[in-house]
Amino acid sequence: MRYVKWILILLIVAFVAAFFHYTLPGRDVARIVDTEVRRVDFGENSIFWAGADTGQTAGTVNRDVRFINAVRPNGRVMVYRNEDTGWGWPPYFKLDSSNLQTEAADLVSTQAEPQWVVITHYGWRNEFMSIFPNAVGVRRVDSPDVQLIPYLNIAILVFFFAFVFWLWRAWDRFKQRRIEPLVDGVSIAIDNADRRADSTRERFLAWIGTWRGKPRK
Amino acid sequence: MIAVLRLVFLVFLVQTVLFLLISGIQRWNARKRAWAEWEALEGSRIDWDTYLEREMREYGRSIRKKLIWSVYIVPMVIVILLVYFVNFA
Repeated sequence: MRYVKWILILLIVAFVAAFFHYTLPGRDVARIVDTEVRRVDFGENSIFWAGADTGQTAGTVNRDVRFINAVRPNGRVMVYRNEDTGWGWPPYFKLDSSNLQTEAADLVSTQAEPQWVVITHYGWRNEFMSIFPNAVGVRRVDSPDVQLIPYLNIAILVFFFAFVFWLWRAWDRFKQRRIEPLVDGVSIAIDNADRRADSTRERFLAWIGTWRGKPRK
Repeated sequence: MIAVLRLVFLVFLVQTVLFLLISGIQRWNARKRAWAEWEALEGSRIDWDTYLEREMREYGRSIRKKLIWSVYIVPMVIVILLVYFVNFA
């Protein structure tokens, strides 16, 4: 039973961590090599794609998606999709995918003359499911070694943990005030019943004893 | 357009539930505070109903009560700021 409890807690923690890792903004330093649009047919990975551009027909089976292809300073490649999140989840309220695509196209550079940029994004790249992080913003930087401190993520996580702590405290206090007195009452009742049973047994044994001529105490 | 309206409607619903909940709790707490103060009054106690009415009128004017409106205001400001910084800055 204890293992079941711990496995459940671990699963919940893993799920919450994955949720934040997917949803919170991350920033990559990269060099944009190409921007493109290609048609995507959504399948079992459709949950990892956003919707059509804000104001356009939603829920189509396939549509054209903008992509930004980039190379990281360590030489590894990264492909971002560039979709509106619109008014839905996650709450980035990104409505300017076309503008972002133009900015990205403007920042395309070659290996010989790199123009480094910081790409803000959320989501995961996963080759097995063909999913891509969604680029949210792009900004030019002079060198690839910029120090990026995720103040917003720190603030959001601090608020989240403070909220969880507060909930836990409230629940704990509720338990102490309302549930423990009940449990105490029940255990007192059980003790009483137990004691009564004991004395009944003693009296019964004493009565049996009288058959063999033992005097009752 | 539908998507915006749906968002506004859902957020409004959640905010209203929160608003009513917090209002109720705050009111209850104000009442409890008033009771504690009234009990601490020695000798020259006035009638509890009159005292409560006066205290609750004071609570109605307090900043504590007005701050509950931030349940509506803060998310709206955050959304407007997000829309601006993500798309136009």
